[in-house]
Amino acid sequence: MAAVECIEILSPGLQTTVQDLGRFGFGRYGVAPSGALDAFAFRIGNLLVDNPENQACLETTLLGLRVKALTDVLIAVTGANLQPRVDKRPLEMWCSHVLKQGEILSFIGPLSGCRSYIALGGGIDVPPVLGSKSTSLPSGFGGFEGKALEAGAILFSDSPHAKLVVSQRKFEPKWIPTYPGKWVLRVIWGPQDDEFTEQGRQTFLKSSYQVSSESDRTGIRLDGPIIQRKADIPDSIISEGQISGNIQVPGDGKPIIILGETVSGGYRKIATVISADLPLLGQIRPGDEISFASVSLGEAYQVLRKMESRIRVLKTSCRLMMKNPEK
Amino acid sequence: MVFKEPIILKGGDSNITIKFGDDGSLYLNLYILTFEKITKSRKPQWLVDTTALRTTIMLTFDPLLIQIDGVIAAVEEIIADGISVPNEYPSRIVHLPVFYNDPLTRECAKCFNMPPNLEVMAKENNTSVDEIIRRHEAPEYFVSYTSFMFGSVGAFPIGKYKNIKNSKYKTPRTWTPPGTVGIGGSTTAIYSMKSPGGVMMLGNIPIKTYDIDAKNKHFENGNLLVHPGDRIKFHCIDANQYERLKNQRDSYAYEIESSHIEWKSYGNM
Repeated sequence: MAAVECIEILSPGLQTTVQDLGRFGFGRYGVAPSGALDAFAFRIGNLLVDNPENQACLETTLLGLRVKALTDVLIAVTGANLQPRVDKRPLEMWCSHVLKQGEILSFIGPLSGCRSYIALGGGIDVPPVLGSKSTSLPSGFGGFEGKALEAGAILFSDSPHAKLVVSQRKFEPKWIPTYPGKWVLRVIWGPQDDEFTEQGRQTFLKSSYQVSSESDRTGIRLDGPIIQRKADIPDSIISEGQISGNIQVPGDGKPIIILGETVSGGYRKIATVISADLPLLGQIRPGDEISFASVSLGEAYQVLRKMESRIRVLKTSCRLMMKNPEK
Repeated sequence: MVFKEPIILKGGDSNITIKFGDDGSLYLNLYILTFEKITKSRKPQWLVDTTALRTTIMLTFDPLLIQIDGVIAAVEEIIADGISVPNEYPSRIVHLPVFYNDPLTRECAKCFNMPPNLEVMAKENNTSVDEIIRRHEAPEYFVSYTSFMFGSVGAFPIGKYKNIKNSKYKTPRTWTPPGTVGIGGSTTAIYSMKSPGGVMMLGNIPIKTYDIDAKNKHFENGNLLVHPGDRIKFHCIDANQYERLKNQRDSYAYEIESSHIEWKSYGNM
């Protein structure tokens, strides 16, 4: 393994960070998972450039990222369609390509979704902190020097040239997710749904909410009808753990969908987004419309297995391709 | 007090929160920490993370390896096997210097149109600032949780102590200086990083409570100073000592005693 200067950030755009699948096992020490918000697009990106699924990638938000290849490197762009270009040419997403030394990859702006993932063959060589390369923005550690990337940053990759032969690996087109801008998120009631009135629960299920511009990697804030909690109970509860997908209702009654940057909180959670829909949370952008549909635990586990089977199919076909490289 | 039957709340398809009680007592805290230790020692493959707080513990699991009913059954089995809190529970004593009513804390209060918070508390308790400091410094504190942010502490006084009444900010602060010692209800909190907050601020700790790069040798075997189950003793320092310690952050030799806590001797608290 040799670390090679791989890409230079010319402009970081709105926000670009180094992420992997997250930092787990340190919740008791206040360490949030962080990690790629759209873990599905992230994992596919890595498989397309022949990396292990959990290799560090770039996560970029909405627009403006420009990077220059400092050597030939295999890349794949997945997730939101932010109109990626190589020099002036449009780049096919969900497919691996060789970015040649000196070429510039840029992102014009969103056609659909919010966050794109750029996987590099050989990954991104940054030191793991507490077992993960993800950037924890609130804690200021992990990723590249503990913060969002800035112009001039140079990222290294491990033996990127070994991956160049895997160009044009594609993800099954019919399985590429679409990011509609009008979302129906599947949820399971709880943990504290019984502390809201029946009317409050109906408001939550039947209303359409608009994503506020104050949303970021810590949470998606929603504007819309107020969710009523039962009379005579206080605004807040004794702080307890919280996870990505918890839908918290603070004192003002407006729901917030928690993302991966917090560990605990003192507000009631009316419902929780199912695991299979968590990747979508990374693709929701300010102004989008959201409504919620309640599903059973059985259905939640079934759709999760279906999503995993698609990743497994890609993995199997990758292994077959490596055995018969001419195919 | 620990509930006869814990309350188990489902948080979606990958997570449960177990509420073992609601009084936040020393025994309840030790019970939760013991439960956490036993659960982890069984090394269940499906366990992704645990987050213990004052009355609850959250277990996050991998839904591809186990479903929620399986996790609940495993938890019930652990409880049925017995959670026995040793009367001599290992608990270190960590000594921490605090500059009470320091300029940084006063400046922050001023930014949010508040008088120095110690003056607010002195009024609320009909006493002097010095008396509030004395009351806060006197007891030993039990570290209930560290899961607010990395390097943070949530602790409460044990043994005999004189209560300090306190109110909260009506509009929470958007920032709090790193190293701030604050008090909200019975909980004394240490803010390790610049972060929002709504509790009254007492003072500032000049030394590190975490060190990711282990610049201070103390952190070579772990990036965190204080762990759940430890105890803290605060020591009042003056401006000169504060400046001196601030300059020694990377070489400061921490004062930590190995010890244990006999929870039975604290009664039912």
